[in-house]
Amino acid sequence: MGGYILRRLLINIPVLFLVTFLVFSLIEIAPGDVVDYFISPDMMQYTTEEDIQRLRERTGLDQPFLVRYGKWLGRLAQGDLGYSFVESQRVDELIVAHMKNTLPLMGAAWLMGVVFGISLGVFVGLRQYSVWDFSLTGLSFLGLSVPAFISGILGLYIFSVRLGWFPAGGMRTAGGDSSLGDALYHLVLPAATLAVMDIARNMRYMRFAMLEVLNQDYITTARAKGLRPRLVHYRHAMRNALLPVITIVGLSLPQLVAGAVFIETIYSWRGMGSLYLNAVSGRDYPVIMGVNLVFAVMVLGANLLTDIAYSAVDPRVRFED
Amino acid sequence: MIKRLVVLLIVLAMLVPALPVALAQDGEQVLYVGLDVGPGGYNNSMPYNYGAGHTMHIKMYTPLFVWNADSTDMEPFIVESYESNDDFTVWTFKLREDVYFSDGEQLTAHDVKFTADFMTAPDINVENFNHVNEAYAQIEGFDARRNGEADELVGVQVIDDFTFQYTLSTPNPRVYGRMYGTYVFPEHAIDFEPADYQTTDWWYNPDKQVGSGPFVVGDYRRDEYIELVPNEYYFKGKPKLDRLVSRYFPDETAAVLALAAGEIDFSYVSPDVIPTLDQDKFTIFSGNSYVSIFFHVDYSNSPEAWQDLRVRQAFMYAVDRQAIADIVLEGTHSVLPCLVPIESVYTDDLNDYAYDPDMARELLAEAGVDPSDLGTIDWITHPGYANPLMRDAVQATQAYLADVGIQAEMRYLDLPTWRTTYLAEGYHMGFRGQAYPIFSPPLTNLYTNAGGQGGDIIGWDWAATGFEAKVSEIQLAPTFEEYTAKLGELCQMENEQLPWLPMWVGQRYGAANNRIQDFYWYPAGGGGPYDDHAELWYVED
Repeated sequence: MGGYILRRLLINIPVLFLVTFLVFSLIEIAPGDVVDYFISPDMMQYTTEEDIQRLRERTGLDQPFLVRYGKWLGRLAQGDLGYSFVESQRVDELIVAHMKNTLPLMGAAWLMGVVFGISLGVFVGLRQYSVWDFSLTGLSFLGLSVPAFISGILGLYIFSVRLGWFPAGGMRTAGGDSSLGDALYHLVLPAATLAVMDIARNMRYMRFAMLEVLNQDYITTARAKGLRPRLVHYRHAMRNALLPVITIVGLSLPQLVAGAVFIETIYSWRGMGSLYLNAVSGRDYPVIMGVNLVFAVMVLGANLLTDIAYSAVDPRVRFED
Repeated sequence: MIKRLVVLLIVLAMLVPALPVALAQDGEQVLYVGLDVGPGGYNNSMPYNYGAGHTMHIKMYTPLFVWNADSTDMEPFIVESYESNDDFTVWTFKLREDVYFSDGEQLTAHDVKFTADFMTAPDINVENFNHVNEAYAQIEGFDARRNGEADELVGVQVIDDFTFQYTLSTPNPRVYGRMYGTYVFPEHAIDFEPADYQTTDWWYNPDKQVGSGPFVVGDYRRDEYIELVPNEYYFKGKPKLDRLVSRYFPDETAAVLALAAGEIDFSYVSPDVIPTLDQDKFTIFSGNSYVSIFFHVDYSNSPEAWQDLRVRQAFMYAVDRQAIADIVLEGTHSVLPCLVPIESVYTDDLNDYAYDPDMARELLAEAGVDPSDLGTIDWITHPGYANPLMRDAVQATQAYLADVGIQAEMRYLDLPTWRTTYLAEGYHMGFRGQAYPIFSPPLTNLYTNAGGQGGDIIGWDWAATGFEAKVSEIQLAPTFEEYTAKLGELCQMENEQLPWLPMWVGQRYGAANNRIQDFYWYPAGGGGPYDDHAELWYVED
């Protein structure tokens, strides 16, 4: 197992290298750069060509593509992700600051998605064609099909504007004292909004997996042996049904740091999604590269974790050193 | 176990809304607002650095001049009086003697000189140079200072503690028209170098920031909010508010929902939002945006037929701009006869190009142009003019043109793509806006091709003649009356020659909860600055 993990880690190094090169190339292909972002023709009547050249020199954009990429790699080797042109801050500090906000939001949503999604999936899987099955499956369609920008605005309108239960966005009370209670108070609504889709998706996968497992011979055998239904359902059926769901849940782990652009925007949440969106809009390549690197590490790590989780859940899965 | 966990989570979820929220304490005057909605919230609190944000800057710093309450004139702010020599190249300004910084130090002409030298330093680290150039590029010695050949901006000199002098490189009878963004920084309190302008925390650190505006920084959470507290030395009196908290909203919808929920008491709003607000609860402020919206033709890249005035006239007659303004834009825009969005300068002879599709067809026929010869016009849209209302207006324009046989396709671009496409001449027509304030209008870059990264119309001289001379007359007009008369003549020339195709000028809106008393706001371009008398604002329980 240890050798397998080491081998996977080593393979990931050239993959990461390739990812950074591809992303850098894509930024290069995209029209315009950060200086173009700074110069809006409707407001820039006094800006001269010399000013623009000065900005290009300051940002290093006057250098050829490969030189800039080489410099970026060189700095990366020293643990330096560079400096954001748009935000005027170190990229690593920006990423850490935004990730601190994204992790609780996405983590809470992910956790709700896992706990409620799997529980409800098991619940309706054991009650196929019941009222519960039809109504929850119907609701899950709704949860999956409502886009985040609609559910986000609806959530704010209903629970903040109409009912006044939750604040209308923000991560804390502006100008107030920071406290855990205040932070939780601001977290609930955006996290719950985000979780809706996760719950619906996980529930559907879990329901399908449960139904499939419940028709297997070994379940019939377990029942024939006279095992209590609870033991059959939760020890034999649910554990086996979890396998495909683990894949889905595991692969969604990178979302924990990717953030959610629409929800973050609607709820004024300073997370990774909005950081990335702003960086792309501004062609802020140090931030784009830094965030993509983090994403790539997370995706590769999540894949590895999913494989390891397989072996934990399914004793038949073993990795050779 | 799982059952217990689920029950616990549900109970927690139900309890959370009941947790106490730290808001204004009893008797404390706190105003929560969304003064700067949209991207750019961080840099907007840093003067000279960004294209907008004056509404925040003037809360903390004082400029030499400000716009008046409705952006129709310029008035001194911390300048008490000013005069020029006969040829308008040397201007002498006398400062008010009652202006103090928030640490109790007096603001003097030495601070003005310090700010001028600081902002023109060769290594000044600003996001763009437009506002620095606007304030200082007309002053003698600017290029030498910017290029590192001089230790100071020689054209700015201190005469005495409260008098300073500008020596200009070219005459300007309305020099103050470029001084509204000239904020004065405290020489004694600036502890960073020009190269650190954007990266220092000075601007947001309550222990460091010193300003001469009504407020100073009390607390700051990047991209979340900035909390301002009163400057007890403010020359117009200590503000009534104990705290002014401006929340940052990256999206207008979020700001409007916060407004409706009562979490903030003021925000910019789109015209389509206004009917949804409780009319008894909110006061709607509105005003001319002084941003002209128009199509410009890339003559170098478009079919030659566009160089024929009759084709451009046909375009104007083919589109019912008034109907679009009234119906599609819901009455929030007015039709423009030219790019000058200032009605007071208009002459009586302007052609209103009232909707007349038959006339459009006749003009095309007269020019010997079959609409199909024009091909499909490749329109590109500046992202600042691609909101839902504007998209509808563009689509309506497209439909009107199709009615006379002119086909067009729109591309919506982000800002870097827009500018790249624009410079590469990779389009036929651009749809965008142009800030056009009565002072400091975009004369040079729009009408002379003499530089600037604004909207110099590529190949404009195919279409128009006599503009350079008129611009020179405007710039040198010695009195305000002559100046506005010349602007009117410029408008008339544009209206006749149509080097570009003027469409509309919009109103902008803000909604304020009636709880705020003595509140004033105007949707000035870039936020002004204008004297909003924030020291008088207070909140009624």
